[in-house]
Amino acid sequence: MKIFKAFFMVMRKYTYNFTMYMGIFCGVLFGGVLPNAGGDVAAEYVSPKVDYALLDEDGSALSKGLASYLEEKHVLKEVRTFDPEVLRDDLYSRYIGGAVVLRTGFEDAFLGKDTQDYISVYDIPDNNYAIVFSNAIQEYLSYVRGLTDSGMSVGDAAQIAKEELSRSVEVSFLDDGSGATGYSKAYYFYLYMPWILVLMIVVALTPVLVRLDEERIRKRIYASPYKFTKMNGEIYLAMIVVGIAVCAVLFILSKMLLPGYDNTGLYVMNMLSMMLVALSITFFFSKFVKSDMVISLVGNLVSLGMAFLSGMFVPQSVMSESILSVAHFLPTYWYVRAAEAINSYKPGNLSSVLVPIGIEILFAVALFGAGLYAAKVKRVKN
Amino acid sequence: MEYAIEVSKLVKRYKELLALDHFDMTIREGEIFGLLGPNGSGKTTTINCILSLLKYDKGQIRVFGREIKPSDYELKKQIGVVFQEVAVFDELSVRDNIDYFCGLYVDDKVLRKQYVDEAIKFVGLENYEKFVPGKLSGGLLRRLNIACGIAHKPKLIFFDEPTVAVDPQSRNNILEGIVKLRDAGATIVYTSHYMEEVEQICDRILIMDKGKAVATGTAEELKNMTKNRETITLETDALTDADLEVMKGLPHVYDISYENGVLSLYYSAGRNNLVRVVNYLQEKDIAFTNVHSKVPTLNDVFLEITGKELRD
Amino acid sequence: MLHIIKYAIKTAVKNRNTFIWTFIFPIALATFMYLAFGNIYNEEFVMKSIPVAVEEGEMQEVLSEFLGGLAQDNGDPYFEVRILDKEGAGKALENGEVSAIITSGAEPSVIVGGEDFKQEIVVSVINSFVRNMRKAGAIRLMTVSEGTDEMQVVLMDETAAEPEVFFVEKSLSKGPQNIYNNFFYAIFAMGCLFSTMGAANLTSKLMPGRTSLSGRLNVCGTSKFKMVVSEMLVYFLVVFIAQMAGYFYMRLIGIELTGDVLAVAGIIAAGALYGVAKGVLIGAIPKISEGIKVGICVGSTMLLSFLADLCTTGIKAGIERTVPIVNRISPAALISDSFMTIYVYEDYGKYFQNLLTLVGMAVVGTSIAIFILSRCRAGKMMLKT
Repeated sequence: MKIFKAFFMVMRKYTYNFTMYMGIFCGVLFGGVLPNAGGDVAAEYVSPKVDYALLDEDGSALSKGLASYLEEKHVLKEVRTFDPEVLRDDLYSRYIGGAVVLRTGFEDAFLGKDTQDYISVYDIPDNNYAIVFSNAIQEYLSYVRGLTDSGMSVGDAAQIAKEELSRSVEVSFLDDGSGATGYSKAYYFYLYMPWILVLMIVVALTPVLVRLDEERIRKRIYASPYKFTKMNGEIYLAMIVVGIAVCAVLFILSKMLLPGYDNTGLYVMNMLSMMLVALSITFFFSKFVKSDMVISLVGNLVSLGMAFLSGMFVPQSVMSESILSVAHFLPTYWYVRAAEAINSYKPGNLSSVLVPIGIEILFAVALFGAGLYAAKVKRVKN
Repeated sequence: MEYAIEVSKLVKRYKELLALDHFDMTIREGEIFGLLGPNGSGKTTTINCILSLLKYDKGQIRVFGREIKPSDYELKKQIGVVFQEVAVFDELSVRDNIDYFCGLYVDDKVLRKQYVDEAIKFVGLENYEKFVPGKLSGGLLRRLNIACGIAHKPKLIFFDEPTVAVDPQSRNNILEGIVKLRDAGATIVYTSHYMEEVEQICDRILIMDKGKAVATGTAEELKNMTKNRETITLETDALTDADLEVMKGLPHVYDISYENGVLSLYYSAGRNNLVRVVNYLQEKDIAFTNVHSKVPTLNDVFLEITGKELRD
Repeated sequence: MLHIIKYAIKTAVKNRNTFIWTFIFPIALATFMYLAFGNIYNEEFVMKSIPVAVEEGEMQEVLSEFLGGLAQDNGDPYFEVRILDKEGAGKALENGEVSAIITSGAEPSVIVGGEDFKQEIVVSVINSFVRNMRKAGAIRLMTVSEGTDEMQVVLMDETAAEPEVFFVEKSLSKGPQNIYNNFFYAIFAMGCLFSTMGAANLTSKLMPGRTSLSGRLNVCGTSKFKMVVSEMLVYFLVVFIAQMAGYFYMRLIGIELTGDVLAVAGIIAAGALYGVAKGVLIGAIPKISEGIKVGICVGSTMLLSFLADLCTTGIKAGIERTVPIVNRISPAALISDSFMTIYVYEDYGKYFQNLLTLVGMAVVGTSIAIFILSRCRAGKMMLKT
């Protein structure tokens, strides 16, 4: 098993890649993904809340009513000042999603049906939070208008509007008996994982294959009694060992971060299939790229590209049909399909998971075959 | 006497290994100075310390009377280096490589072009100017390596084993070229473990071992350090003990051996030693064959001083 | 210096792979991103009708007509409504065919599959529906075939009436701040920062003791300052041109980037200078291997790009709230923020502040690198001795 050992000796130089990318993955998980991920158990539906600032200069029943309503619905924050220049900084840095200034005379203006100079709403245009925030204000004032138009006093109308708008229809999650709804944290963990898995394996292993493939090394091995097939077999075995080790570390990480998630076996199966795809991509690339810098650039490009186009960073539900049809040709697309099927898995529905996993494995085989063909062409050329 | 290089009590340690052990060396201006020693004796370490590429622990190094520092660019302009490993850019052609390195020393474009042309001619690469290093054979690469190191006509040139893996014809060309450089006024420091080369071209030689200077002098002076001045061997089956006693009494013979029909006589001095031996054997009508007379080599000097072969 | 610059250009052009991938990187990444969310990039955040299921029940017709009658500004319906039985609706929600189920009992309720803005819109609209029902004072079984009804008239009036405009939203920024632009700004940041790897090679090859070539370059009569600055200049130009090409490409494919080319050139120049200088500094660190240097280059680039919202939005904002100093010195954040300042601010104060920070860090890094190289000797030679 000399070549097998040589593989790991050469790989030693590149093992820092694993540590580094694992660290980045943890940063992405802790910093952005898991805090925003849903729970594993059905919980109460919670409407999106917007961080906002409010300045009430009017102090009237209406302005207080609006302030009280907004405080219940969203999250009031303190700002340094309501100077538009400073507010702009707070909006621009997303400290707040919106700000309201109710000027003196607001209630009178409301009754006079000419409020525009007495209420200022600042937000970031074309932003989901801005729409939710401004809708809440519009809804409240519309409701009060309806009540005052039918003769009610502003003070009573403000109070009733708040009470009424605070009532909501019953909103529940679909209960399939398992208690699990929405997208679990485990789903998000495994959703982002291929990006880093492909990147780690490509960037760490491609240089090793390139070194072992160098002409002078190959010639030396060819001239020895070491069989060609044995040599290649040992290289492939070493790659698989590395791939399994990386998956094992990711699996342990998932268990440490998310102790009790379901469908572990299916997630692991999906991960191992993606690992095979990553190894095949590595094998294929090693026939074309040589320098470490280009390997890093290409590795990042491929992993990020697949992540964007397959529905990892951007949900498949918002991608256009044409792009999704192209994405069918990416193994990561099928990985995401499998992950979604696993997330909502019910016994008896195994085929919805196994079919995409099977397609991933086919991709792995195809890429490996392409790599073998490229190697043959290169050998003949040399 | 102007010294190009003065090294005094140089010490360099790599953890427990003492690479240079209070090493002393002086090199005169205008000479070809050979640094001879087995692998690991500290030759390249010495060169790298002198060139301020390597930190050293103790001692003093002066080049043209000044202590050389990494930022002493004026002094560096007078130095050229030909490393053992080929040091050129794979992307640039032969001419571009020489021009690039010459340009790091010579700003004047016209003068630089002249120097580059002369360097290409000097190493015999006129027919390969547009070739990139990847297309050159080993010998031609070495020549390019040399051209890059000497194009700017430095006053002090270091050659670190420049003829390794070079064919005999190229080797001769290189050695002749080095002598020409010396004749043009350069001081040359030549390191090698090929004693024949060193003997051939060097004005003075320093033999080093385990980081120390073992012996210094011209080739003749070094050989004179050994007891043995000549060894005569011949083959004969007809010698008796009496004959051996007589031969032992011949002038300047300090030792004699006779094994398996081979007689060896060791002389500490003298001329015409062979004539006396042959005359004796002829007088006694003793048949002999395969007569050799060998003078001591630097390897013998090294062996006598250190107890091991230079090639060990 | 011109002599070194000339040969640095020759060498760079002949290093085809590196040269080509430096150009391809921003263009390819921008293309992937644009393809991924181009669908939602140029339009309102809700452009597809939200598919909903109305369960069979007493209110099915009223609900479906109410929901089906709501239209967006462009005339497209807000909702795509289907009337399904309970089981069918449940399956549709599970499979993601609908975003929500509205039960049509006496008082409608909503069943959702997750928590996002689509579900929130459905909840909000149904809340409005139920409120109107309560306002009318009665909840009765009604069908369209029974003709108009007071309830229906109230509902129709509600949907038909022009809503009163109480306020006009003010943006406080000069131009639009499309949130998805953050991803594209992060590409520029990533491209500039990835240049650290190539730049690290520039100084790494000057470290004494690495290779015979580094030995030769260390013994030459040209100062390290000239050698480093000349090579930096060439590499900086390559990165700058590649990033500018990326910018023009992005505008070509329809990404809403500012037309202020000079302002963009300024940001990219500062970013590229920083990236190259950082690489030069990393390359000059003595006593660490090439592999570790590459690792530091790539790791820091990825981390900084992530902190500037490359993979997911909200990180930068979160940092701004908790440790704002990080955003003040994180080059990726400075680069992407500089793009945003072009849209947000009327003057260029913050823009120049960011650029000066980048340039300042670049100058400091380069100076340290040159200082190290000028005085550096190897502790041990990597070459054979």
